[in-house]
Parts: sequence; C-alpha cells; structure tokens
Amino acid sequence: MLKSIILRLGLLLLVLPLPLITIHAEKAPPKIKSNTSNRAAVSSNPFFLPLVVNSVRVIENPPLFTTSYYWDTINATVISEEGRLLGELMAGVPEDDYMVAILDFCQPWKDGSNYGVYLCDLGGFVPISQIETAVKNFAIGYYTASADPSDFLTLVVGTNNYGRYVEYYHGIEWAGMVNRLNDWLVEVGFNNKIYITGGNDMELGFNSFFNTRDWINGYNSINKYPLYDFGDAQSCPTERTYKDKICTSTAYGDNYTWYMSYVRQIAFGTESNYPLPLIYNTLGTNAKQWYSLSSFSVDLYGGKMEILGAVTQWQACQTRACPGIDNEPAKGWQQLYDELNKDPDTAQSLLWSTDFVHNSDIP
Amino acid sequence: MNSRSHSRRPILVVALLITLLIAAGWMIRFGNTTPIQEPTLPPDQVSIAQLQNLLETPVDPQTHQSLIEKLDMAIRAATQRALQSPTDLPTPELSPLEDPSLPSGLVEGGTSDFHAWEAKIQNMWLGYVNNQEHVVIYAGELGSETDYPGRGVVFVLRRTPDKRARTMNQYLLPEGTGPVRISEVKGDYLVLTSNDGETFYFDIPGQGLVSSLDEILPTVTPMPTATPWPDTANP
Repeated sequence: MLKSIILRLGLLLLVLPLPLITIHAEKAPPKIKSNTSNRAAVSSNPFFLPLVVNSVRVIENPPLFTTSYYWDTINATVISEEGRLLGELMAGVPEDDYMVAILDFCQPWKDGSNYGVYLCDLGGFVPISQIETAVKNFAIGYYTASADPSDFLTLVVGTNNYGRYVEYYHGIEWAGMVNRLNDWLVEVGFNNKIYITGGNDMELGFNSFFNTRDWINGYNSINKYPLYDFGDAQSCPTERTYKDKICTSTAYGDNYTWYMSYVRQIAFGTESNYPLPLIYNTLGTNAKQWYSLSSFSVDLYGGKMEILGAVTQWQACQTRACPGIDNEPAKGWQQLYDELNKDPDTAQSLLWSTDFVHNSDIP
Repeated sequence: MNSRSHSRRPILVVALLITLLIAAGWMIRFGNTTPIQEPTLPPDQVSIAQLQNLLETPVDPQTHQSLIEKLDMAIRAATQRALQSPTDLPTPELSPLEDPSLPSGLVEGGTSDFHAWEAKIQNMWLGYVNNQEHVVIYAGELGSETDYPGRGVVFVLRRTPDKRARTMNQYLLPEGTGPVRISEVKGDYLVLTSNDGETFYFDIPGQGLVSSLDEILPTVTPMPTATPWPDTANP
C-alpha cells in the first residue's frame, strides 16, 4: 500500500512540469526616458518564478517601444523632427538595433481622379505624392540623427480601411508609393538604415471584408514590399476554435460579417501581409484573439501566422480618458507574447513594440 | 509469495503504461516546440528564418505559395539592406509641404478618427471658433468596449491653428439615450436628435450641452498658443 502511494506520488511529480506553470511577479509601470520628451519608455522587468526550473522557457523582456503617429499634418519640420528624435533614441539604445514605427495618415480618399488620404482628425485631403514627400522628410530626419551604424528602422506607411475609397485602385497607388520610396532609399544611400513597407489599420468595424480584400488585391498587384496589418480582430473568439467562427456581424447585412478566415486572410493569408496587431485592451482580450487566429491558422491551413509585434495606444490615451483600452506598450507586448507562447503550435518571437500618439498631442 | 507478486503485477503494468503516456505527452509538449528565436538578427533575417520554418510545415498549397512569395520579399529586403552605397552621397534636403486647409461645416457620415470599439460617429460639425481654434464636434454613440456601449455621445476636438496642440473632450447624453446626430445648426448651437426623436442642444463656443437655445454658457478659455516651430522647411 505504502509503495503504491509512493509510486503515485512519484508519478504526480513527473506530471507536474507538464503544464509549464509560470508565476508572474507584479510588473512595474514603464519607466519614461526623459531625453525623448516622454515618447519612449523602457520596458518593465517582469521576472518569472519557475516551479520546475528545467522546464521553464526563458521569456524575453518586452523590447523598447517606439512611437507611432496618427498624422493630421504633413508639415516638414514637424515630421522630420519626429524622425530625428527616433534616430536619436535608437542611437542611444545600443542593445535595440531593430525597431519599427508606423506613420498613419488615416483614411483613404479620392479628390477628382487624385488618390490620397483624408488626414487623421479630419485634417483635410492630401494626395499620395505629398504623403510620399512627407515620408521622405521623416526618413531624412531619422537618418541624419541616427549615429549608430547598426540601427535599422522599419518604417510603415499606413492608411486604414475606413470609408468608400477602400478600393482596388487605391491599393495600387499605395503599393506604387511604397515601391518608389524604397527606390529612393537606395538612391540616396539610406537603404542600410531604413526599410519602408506598406501598412493598413484594417479594423473589422471599419469596412467589409470584401472591400478590404479589394484594396489588398490592388496593393498586391504591383507591390515589391510587404503590407503590415496594424488593425484589430474585434469580437473574434479568444480560444482555440478548431473551426471557422464569426468574429463580428452587423446590422448592415451578411456582406459585413467577418469570419476568422477573413481576418486571417487580410492579416497573413496573401503573399504580402503580416499582422502587427493592436493590443489595446488592458485585460488581454486582444492577445487572446490573435492567439485564437494563429491557432486557427494552424488547424485549418497547416501553419501559424507570423506575428511581428504588438501595437498599443497608451500615449494617444494620455490626453483623454479611454479606460480599459489604454494598454501600456510593455503589457500589450507581454500579453501577446504569453498568449502565443503558451501553445507550442503558435510559439514565436515577437520583434517589435510600438505605441500610437496623435502628432498634435506631442508637447 | 507467489500471490503477492501476482497482486503487484497489475500495479506495475499500470505504472508502466502511465509512464509511457507521460513520456509521450512530454514529447508532444516539448518535442515539437519551435525553438524560440531571439530577435538579435535583423528583421529580414528573422523573417527569412521563420518563413523557412513555416515552409517545412504541411501548410495548404495556397498558403505554401504565399509563403514562398513572402520569402522572396524578405530576401529582397535583406539584399536591399546590404547594398553598399557610395559614402559621399549628399543628404537630401527637406521638401516643404503645405497643410491642406481644414474643412468646415456639417459633414455627414462617420470617420476613422475613432476605432469602431471606441465610438461610432453619425456626423460632424467643423469650424473655427474662439481665437481661431479649429473645432470638430462629433455626434454618435459610444463603442462596444467603453463603459456605456451604445449611449449617445458628443466629442469635441479643439486644435490650435498650427496643429501644435489639441484637446478631446467627451459629453455623455442622458442614460438611455441611443445614437445622436446633428440635425441642425442654429447660430452658435447644434441641435442634436436621437434615434428616438429626443432633442438636445450643444453650445459651440461654451462647449457644453444646454437645456434650450436660450441658455448661454461662458465661452471656454482659448488654448495656450504654442511656441512656433523654427520653420525652415515650410515657408
């Protein structure tokens, strides 16, 4: 009898490590770096208390986050100044050589036959040619301040999927701009410090899958560079589903229903796109949604999604209350990392953390 | 003795089976774990490695094709990064750009200025008030991830003419009020109507809800003027 009990206890001890139990200590809020006008913060330092030392995966700390921008201006001085600050920030952090920043110019628009955007905060129409110039101005600011030769910035030139001009030809124009910008980087010798991709804040509540897909198809028709989806997965399931489920349905009818397969398609399912998702919810719901989508990708398509990092809007929430959706960058990154890495099928590294601000909120 | 060894045999068999099960579970749990690649490589190299790993998994043909094209793109990025440029290239000058004029008047429809889970906007009024501040007044309802989903709301965005500073304030309509829209502009007031036909009034210069068109709120204090940019690139 005693031997039997000992035997069972022994088995229990063997079983214990299987769930990979990790205890998270209380995390400190992000520390603010003073030399960058409060626009970059050093990540918190979580530590992990393993119950079984030899089975615990070493979890990396969140990377230093960068600032991404909702622009309501194309003023060259304002934009290049932000580029300069980013260059200085990266040069001052030798351990973080590779960072990302999103320049979001907001809503696709068309004025006559001229494609462009309606700047954020209803800042007016700007044609694509001027967006291109504005991005060059940011790149010049960054490059001239980037003193560390090993620093390398991935710059995402973004729009969103809101409104009536989310269409095939706007996607073509956006890809054409990204192609030309990369050619220019080589021409002026910035190519070893900067890489430019397209981006789109593709939100399920902004438009239908079909309009969004048309825009991506246009982008993919001439693109030479990737497209990063920095949008959401609103109302998608938060657990592994093993089948295609509805994320959102609206009163506008079936055309506006989003299935998980649709979200996967716009985020990772074509030859150009990668998710760099919004992880705004402080309770970790968004991280669970992207885990659910990545595991869905494994179950129905045979492979996980390669997720690039986490996007938050903590700084954008500093000038107005947005309780519950103002996740701090380090927390957003950690939530997503933990969710993806709790399951070997979706385990992966997460390169980046970036946090949105409205340019006119910058002191 | 013989009977004791007979009585122990089932326990040993069960123990052996359980051990095998655990070993199998252990293999599944840890054996297939993709090694975590720490991001010490350039992003294109990380991407190349991860895509190559993914291509080794049994993905469906369409995904396989898209991964191959992604891999081509990542290789192109790595090649572009490695291109050696002449060292004596001059740094390009900034190109001046003029901001578009800010719109004004009543604008129908929504906007991407709010995520869908923050608010759904029905329409907006825009104009210059109070020392040339540009004001946008949005009418609609709060989004699904707020404290009061579906409740009628007015947002006021104030912005200095040079776009150097902004504030955003939220004005909740009474509990039970659903989405509202701006149905009319009467002088310095906006008339708001809910889906249920209720009417509300918003004082533009005072920036607040009022009970009638006769109620006047004190004009809000102008936003402080920011120090001008050393505007070398924008004439």
